[in-house]
Amino acid sequence: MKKCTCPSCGAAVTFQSSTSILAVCEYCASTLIRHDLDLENLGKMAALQPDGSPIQLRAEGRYRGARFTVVGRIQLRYEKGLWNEWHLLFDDQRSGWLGEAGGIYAVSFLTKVEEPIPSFEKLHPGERVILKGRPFEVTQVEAAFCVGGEGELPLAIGAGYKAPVIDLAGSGNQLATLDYSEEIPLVFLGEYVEFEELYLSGLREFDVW
Amino acid sequence: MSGKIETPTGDLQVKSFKCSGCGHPLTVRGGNQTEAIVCEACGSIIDLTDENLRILSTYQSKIKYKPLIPLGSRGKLRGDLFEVIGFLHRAITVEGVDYGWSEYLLFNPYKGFRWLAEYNGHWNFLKTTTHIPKTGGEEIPLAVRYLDQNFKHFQTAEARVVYVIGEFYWKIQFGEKCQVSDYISPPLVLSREKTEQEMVWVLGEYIDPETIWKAFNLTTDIPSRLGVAPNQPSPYAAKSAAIWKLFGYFCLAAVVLHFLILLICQNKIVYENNFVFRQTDREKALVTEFFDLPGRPSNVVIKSTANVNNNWIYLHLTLIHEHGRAYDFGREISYYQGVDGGERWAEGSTTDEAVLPTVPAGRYYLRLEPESPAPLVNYSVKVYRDVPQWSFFFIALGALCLLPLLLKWRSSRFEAARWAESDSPK
Repeated sequence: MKKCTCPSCGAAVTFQSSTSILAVCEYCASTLIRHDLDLENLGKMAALQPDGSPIQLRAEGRYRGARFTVVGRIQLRYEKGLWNEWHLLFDDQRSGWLGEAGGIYAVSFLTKVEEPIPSFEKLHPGERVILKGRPFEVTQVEAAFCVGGEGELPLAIGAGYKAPVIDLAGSGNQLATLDYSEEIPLVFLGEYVEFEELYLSGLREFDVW
Repeated sequence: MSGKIETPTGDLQVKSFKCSGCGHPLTVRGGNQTEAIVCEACGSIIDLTDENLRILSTYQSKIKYKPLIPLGSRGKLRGDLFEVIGFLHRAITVEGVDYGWSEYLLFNPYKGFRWLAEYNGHWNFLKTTTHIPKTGGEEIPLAVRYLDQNFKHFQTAEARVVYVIGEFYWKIQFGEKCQVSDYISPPLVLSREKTEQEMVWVLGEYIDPETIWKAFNLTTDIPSRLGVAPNQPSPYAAKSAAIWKLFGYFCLAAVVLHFLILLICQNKIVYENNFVFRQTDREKALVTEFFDLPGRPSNVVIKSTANVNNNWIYLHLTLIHEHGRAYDFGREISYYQGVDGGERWAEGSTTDEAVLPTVPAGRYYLRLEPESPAPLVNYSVKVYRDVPQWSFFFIALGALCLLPLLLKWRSSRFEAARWAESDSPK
């Protein structure tokens, strides 16, 4: 864990995960990039849009027996609506992602694959892609963009950043996401999970619920 | 106050505002996931993602459908609390006839969205699937595999929205169309909803209306169920196993019972004698000596034979108790045979067997009065006491078979009623 001070407002900023390179100051919303010696202030992060998500920073849960804490979030706008990718920090320092919107939950991890990844333009719904030796089918091709973020993140983002993503479905609950926002596409492999399976605590509470 | 929502930062609080079209008060219950709300007063569809709450469209429905579960009702279904936030009526047209059903959109901020769908008093509880069922890749597959179960195609039709009120997580349009294909594996139904843009699969389970009425605390009358729903579980399928088990037990009982009867039956010959019928005898009737019928009240079998050939003999028999109680019956023995056109034929028999079902024990004698056109007939009579009757055993087995047969028949009638509405008839 690394503790810093926000260069803009002086509030404490912590990087709980060693892989995090970006943090959004909880007090002044400054977007801070971690360098070896100091923090670079990229300016204010755009406000997140209210989306009714029950997840919030510092919420805790379990995935396949491993405990995690929610340390960050990227909010994306898809054509159909908002989608959150919550940055999970597991007890063993592993980073993971909890995708979430409208009561749908998916846990995924950045995964290195041997297979060549077709370019964004070449993939269309229904096409097959082999990842880690397993077949996946393209379900959605989206020119999503980033609304904003909060907490700490392992990648540099900002409002309006383009996030061309391709969602794929494997067998059973398996899923894959190809993220083309960087030069080399990132591959996330994971699965859909039920709310109950995550044993979440520290969730946002709603007035009338 | 029309225009902006009053609590702009009110993340998932109940928000109230006035309809941009008519000023009717509206409440947003589904939180920030709601994209559109439909005013039940004027039919305006309002875009909630637009800060000026612009009206996407307005429609006038000739028929107003009233939701059986009012918007805003909350109920616990399958362990989770849900609130009814939207209601729509959709219809398909098959061979010129419209079939309509109602759908209720349910919301829980942690669990997301579910649906309740009602058609002819039959209900389904549905959820959009997170993964895609396996298909053969056809345009409209005949079968799909999901959750390790096979689903059979039931119907494909174009559904359109004919009435809508409340909130939805997409910008719903009046008249909005999509191709719906239903696949069934009772009590489950898997529906594929396909539009130009996307394809979603929804998994539903048949749910008793009583469960819904109880969950939502409804005091209204439950609409009665008409016909058989596509994924309605067959009441006979569940009973079938139990019935066959019962059938097995009864058969076993019948066999054991019959075996016991065989063991305890005396099957005893109590009297036998040979007689001669002579046409010339003036007095043809005769009586036998006394014989004993022992044991519990039981049957008496009288076997008689006569050497008739192309002739007959009629025996008027009376079994008489020493104190006068009599069993009176007549038997005919006839036997005809010959050659006709080179073929041998024969009919009748030279033997006969008569059964008196229940005769109490005691001393009895027989009175015999023969009649025949023949000049001379040799005949014999044997009296057996307590003879096991196989016929009862077979009648019992036959009667037992009626039960599973009836079940099978009713079950197939149920399945026929189910598939009668399908466009993939079985």
